[in-house]
Amino acid sequence: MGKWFGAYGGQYVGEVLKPALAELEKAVIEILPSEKFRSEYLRLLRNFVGRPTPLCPAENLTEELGGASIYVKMEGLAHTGAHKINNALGQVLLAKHMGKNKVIAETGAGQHGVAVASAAAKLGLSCEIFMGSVDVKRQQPNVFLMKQFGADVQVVEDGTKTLKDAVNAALKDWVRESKRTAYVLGSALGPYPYPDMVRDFQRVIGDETRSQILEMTGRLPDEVVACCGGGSNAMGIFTAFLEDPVALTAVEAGGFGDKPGEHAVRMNGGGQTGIIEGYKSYFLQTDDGQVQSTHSISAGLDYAGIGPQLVQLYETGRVKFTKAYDSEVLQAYQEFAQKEGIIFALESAHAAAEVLKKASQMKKNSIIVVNMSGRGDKDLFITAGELYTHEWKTFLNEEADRLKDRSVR
Amino acid sequence: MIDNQKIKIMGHLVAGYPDTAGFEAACSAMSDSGIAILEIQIPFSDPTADGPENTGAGEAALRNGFKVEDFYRYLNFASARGFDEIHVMTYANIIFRYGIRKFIDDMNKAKVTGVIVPDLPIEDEEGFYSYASQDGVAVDAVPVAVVNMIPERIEMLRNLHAERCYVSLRQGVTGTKTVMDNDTIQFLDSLGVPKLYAGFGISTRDQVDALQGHAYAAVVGSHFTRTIRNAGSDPKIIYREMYNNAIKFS
Ligand SMILES: Cc1ncc(COP(=O)(O)O)c(C=O)c1O
Repeated sequence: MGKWFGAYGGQYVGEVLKPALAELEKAVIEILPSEKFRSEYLRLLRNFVGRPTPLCPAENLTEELGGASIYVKMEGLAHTGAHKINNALGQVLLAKHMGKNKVIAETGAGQHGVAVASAAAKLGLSCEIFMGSVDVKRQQPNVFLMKQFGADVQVVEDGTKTLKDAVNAALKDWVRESKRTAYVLGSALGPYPYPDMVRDFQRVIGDETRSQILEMTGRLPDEVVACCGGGSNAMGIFTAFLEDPVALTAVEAGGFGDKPGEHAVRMNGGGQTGIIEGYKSYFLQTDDGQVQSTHSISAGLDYAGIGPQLVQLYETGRVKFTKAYDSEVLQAYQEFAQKEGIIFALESAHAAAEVLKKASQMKKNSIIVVNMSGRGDKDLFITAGELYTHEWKTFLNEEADRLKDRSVR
Repeated sequence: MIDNQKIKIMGHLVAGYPDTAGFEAACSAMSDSGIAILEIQIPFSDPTADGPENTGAGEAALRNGFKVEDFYRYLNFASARGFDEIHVMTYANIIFRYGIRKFIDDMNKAKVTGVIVPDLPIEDEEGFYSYASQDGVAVDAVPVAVVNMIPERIEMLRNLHAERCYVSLRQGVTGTKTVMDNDTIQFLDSLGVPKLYAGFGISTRDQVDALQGHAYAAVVGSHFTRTIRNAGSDPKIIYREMYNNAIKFS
């Protein structure tokens, strides 16, 4: 457990939030390691989430590219379609063990919100999800799913009306209600103890991958690649390999260009050190310290900040950072669908794009693992809109017509 | 602990809101109506300690193109209005990007009384409180206290030996209504900081009177921002509405 990752991390919050964070820290230290918590969490990971998720050899692409053997960690097969559930379930269960009867969470694309709402339904806690109004408009399918799980969706109209504003709104709500409410943060960032706790709930991805690859090939991979928004799936799969001679590569959202506002690349000069939303890290920001707007084809990577531990790992050189542009991402998405029968989430397809660039340059017999942090069903409205524009438009119009006659329920 | 001096009012304005002329009108109305202390906020894109009213005001200022370097225009205008004290409130990232020491030096030169940065806690201060407490630095780094702080944190605050402290009267963000109960009063009396600026949710003179003898100043923030918002965009109307509203407090 650590509050600092080198110079990054910390707990830069107003005095009003200190008591709630102190209570959470105590619970992380006392409840998380307990046998009672561990056994219930592991049981739920198996029976509810569907762990372990498979490690799938991508034999066709391996052969076609003629370099490294490619393996896909199939996190997208986890319940609710992404790695987000590992953390959501862990934190909701912790809330229950702390005696809370309600959880709140922020969500951008809605993946984390869906995971939290599902876990809260399963564990019998009430649930409120904060989501920017711009995101609500873009992500109606996930809003619908959250509501099916019984969650209240609070539409946030502040600021840019996206993920960062949902975080701020959720934090403010937590200040008002922290006695009975737990705040379930969705990535490995925010004030201490969140970066630590979220990484620890996600490290199961790497722990499984490590033993699976050893069992399948008898050796460690040469490289592990993950996409990187806040950093939870990246830290999740990297943590088990940090001490190994394994190259670790995180892929950020290159968006559609290199100008401010066109991407979400915080490393390699894109962002600067800042103190925002409770932690010190790299942020995309203006010269005078206002948070910069970001863009990515994948809603889940569209965020100005990044987990503090990843900044430390970047500065020490342990993790290399690269980026993939929106167009490369769509290509990789199609490649893996056509050659391997796997539909990547657009976030994860950033990592897939990097693997497609790199595998052919690597030696035969070397091994590269890509974390498919999510599956692509959730992106249907984006991918079909991009790749199947005419038919999809016709379909949506016809659906809308069909619903016209339906009375509103 | 506080002498019998009449409690002062600290009015809060957001720089750049609703625009330059509107800010100046509101600021003049405050000084003309006898508001003793002005707190100016430098807008930030992610204001975690502000309620809806000031969050909206900061956003509007940023949408209008407010830059941190523009702040001096607002500060200079306010400085010429003859307030007893001017305090500057903003968020950690604004002064971190500016350079914390440079910011304190520049506020010192501008004869600002205090700087309030709610998301720079005492233990992760980035040199904020320690640099401001050095000899030759007249401006104060003003820490923030909250009613219901845990004892260890109250102790930490006391150890700063601050001259001034901003106290948020309820566990929450600015702009939601506050009641002054006995616990609150006891908390104020027990802090041991000479000058307390107590705020969050004050909208009536009765609330101010309840703090008489327990705080050096009562902070009126969201309430005044609402006054500006309701007044619309004409500086004359902003002046009139702000004057009529502020005079009730002084
Ligand atoms: C499938 C998927 N992958 C990745 C991310 C990015 O988050 P993180 O970097 O925390 O893994 C998200 C976020 O919504 C996601 O849904």
